[in-house]
Amino acid sequence: MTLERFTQLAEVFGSDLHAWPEPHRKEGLAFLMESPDARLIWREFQTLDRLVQESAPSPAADQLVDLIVNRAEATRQAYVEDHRNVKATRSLAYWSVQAAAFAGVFLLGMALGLTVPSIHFALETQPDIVSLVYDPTRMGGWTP
Amino acid sequence: MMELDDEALMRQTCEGDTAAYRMLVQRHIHRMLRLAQGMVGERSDAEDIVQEAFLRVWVHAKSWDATRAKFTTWLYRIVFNLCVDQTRKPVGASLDLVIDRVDPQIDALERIQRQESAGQVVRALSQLPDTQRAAVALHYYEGLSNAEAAEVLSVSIGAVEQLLVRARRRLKELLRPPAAGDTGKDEDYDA
Repeated sequence: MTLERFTQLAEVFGSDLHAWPEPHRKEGLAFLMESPDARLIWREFQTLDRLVQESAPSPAADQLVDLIVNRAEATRQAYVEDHRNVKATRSLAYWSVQAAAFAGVFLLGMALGLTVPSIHFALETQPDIVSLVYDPTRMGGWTP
Repeated sequence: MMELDDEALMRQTCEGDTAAYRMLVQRHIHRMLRLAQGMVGERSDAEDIVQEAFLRVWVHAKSWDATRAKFTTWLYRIVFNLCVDQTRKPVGASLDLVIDRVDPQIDALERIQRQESAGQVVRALSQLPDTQRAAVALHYYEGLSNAEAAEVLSVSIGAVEQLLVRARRRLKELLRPPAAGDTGKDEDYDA
């Protein structure tokens, strides 16, 4: 193994030689024992690994868990409210259409009801025609 | 309830069981926060991201398919994607996150030195591209194998290895004080 190869492997797998894949680990350990330069490189990576691990963030506070669960419950409440509102809106729209249709039919019926008798009455207001057609006394009394 | 695995807890969460959901949150919040903070730097931003991620779990619980990915992998992906969105906004690295990590048993000088070096690492991490930062966080903070990290990042194992190689090279450059030259000794990083 060369120093370049050792450095490449350290860049890929880090300073923990136990984490290196088997064919490289044995070679790496042997090279580390025999090469002072390899030990220098290895110590660099060891320090880098330690520093990065030490920079790991602190654990979350318990309050954050409560906050998340409370938000989830609030979201569900909001969803239920929304769902209820949507249902109410749909229901209102349904009955509005039903009522409008009923009112329309009713008004149409009213209009027809007013129009038909008015025709009838219009015929009745022409007594000459009506009497000519329907008055049997006149028919009986008529002589050519 | 304590013995239930993630899959069982998710099934109950799908049915609106908040107790099961709370257990899921408690079980995974620390690792998600580490990943988020490792990526975005700011503690408050990381907490917002984690909140949003768990809220998505709650709302979209039924969309998780146990046959396609482990729950943790799915959750890591949600957090990672939210972090990528967040890091598109300009942010600065915070030093606050490292203060609590320092062991209270060590002496004051050592503590200051560790805080400073951890702060330098945080600043250096903030200069890495998103995917490199994610690879570092998953590898160093979460202890994920390269294969597991590859699954979270939806890339090949080789790609994760390359991300770590580039990240380590860049971190070495960034953490090496200019005055120390290229000697490459331990004290370069401990300064």
